[in-house]
Amino acid sequence: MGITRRNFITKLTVSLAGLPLVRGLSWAQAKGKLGYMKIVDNAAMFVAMEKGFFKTEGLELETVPMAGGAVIVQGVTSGDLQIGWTNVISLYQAHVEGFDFKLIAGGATNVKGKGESHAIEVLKASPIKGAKDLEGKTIAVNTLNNIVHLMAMAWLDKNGASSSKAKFVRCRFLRWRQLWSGERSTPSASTSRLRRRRWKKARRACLRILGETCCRSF
Amino acid sequence: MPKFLIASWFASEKWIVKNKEMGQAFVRAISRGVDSIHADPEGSRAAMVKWAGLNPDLAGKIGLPVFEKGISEKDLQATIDLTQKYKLISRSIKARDVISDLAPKG
Repeated sequence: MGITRRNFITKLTVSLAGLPLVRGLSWAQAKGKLGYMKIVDNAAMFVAMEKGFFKTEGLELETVPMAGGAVIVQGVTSGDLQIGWTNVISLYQAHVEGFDFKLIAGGATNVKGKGESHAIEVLKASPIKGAKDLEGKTIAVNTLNNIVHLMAMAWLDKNGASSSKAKFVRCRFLRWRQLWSGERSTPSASTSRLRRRRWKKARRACLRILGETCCRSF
Repeated sequence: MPKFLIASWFASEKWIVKNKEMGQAFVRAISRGVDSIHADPEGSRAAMVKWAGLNPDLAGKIGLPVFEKGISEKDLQATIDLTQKYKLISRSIKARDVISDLAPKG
């Protein structure tokens, strides 16, 4: 499941054309670009912008909404972005591959029993009642070998099943409605982020949470 | 394992060394943002509606992660160890090596 440096860089270059190049800006002028995602996890930045905290600190930031951590990492690597948002697994992978990225502030945290935002979900009518029932089944995750996949594997092993006996497949969020509508029966490990609300109504009708995965996987 | 830092702000070490004051200013502003969320949760949800495009009707209902100013080296190491255990990284790393001196301690 490891990634090579070449693969990592390839992933980062997918959206190169979409990144506007801004030259001449530097933090010596207290100006810069910040790559973020339009998800609630970035709320501290949203509030800081709304309340003028960056300006108070002498910073003039151009905030750039981006699709995900891979594109943001690419922007920071190229120097087009000075600061970006990423999940920690991507940062660990980048570090192992030789990138000098470091976390500079606290962020979005899952705490057991409070603020949990990752779960494995199954259809309400599914006979799957616990982790063991997922052995031999296929589980959809938004990205293989990243945070949602990791949590799902760890949750299975923590709860009496063997993650090696489950098959994980990548499934983009937009295709999950098929799963949730019952057109397919694959369980899904998901995040309760912005995209989840889009299908909230459908979820209520057909899904149930099998297990919260984030802080219950250790 | 009580906590799992999902995601956060990062920069390159090269940039941090050259722009320490700017980095510190950014961290202070973000920390004030976190304080504001805790002091005024409803107000912060309004910001989420504007910046994340949340449906206002759902903004008050959606589950949120916990927002923290600092990073716990111990908690982060546990997530690194888990990542290495499942071979998502090829070798173990030390949490202190991916936490900048700019980051408040959690």
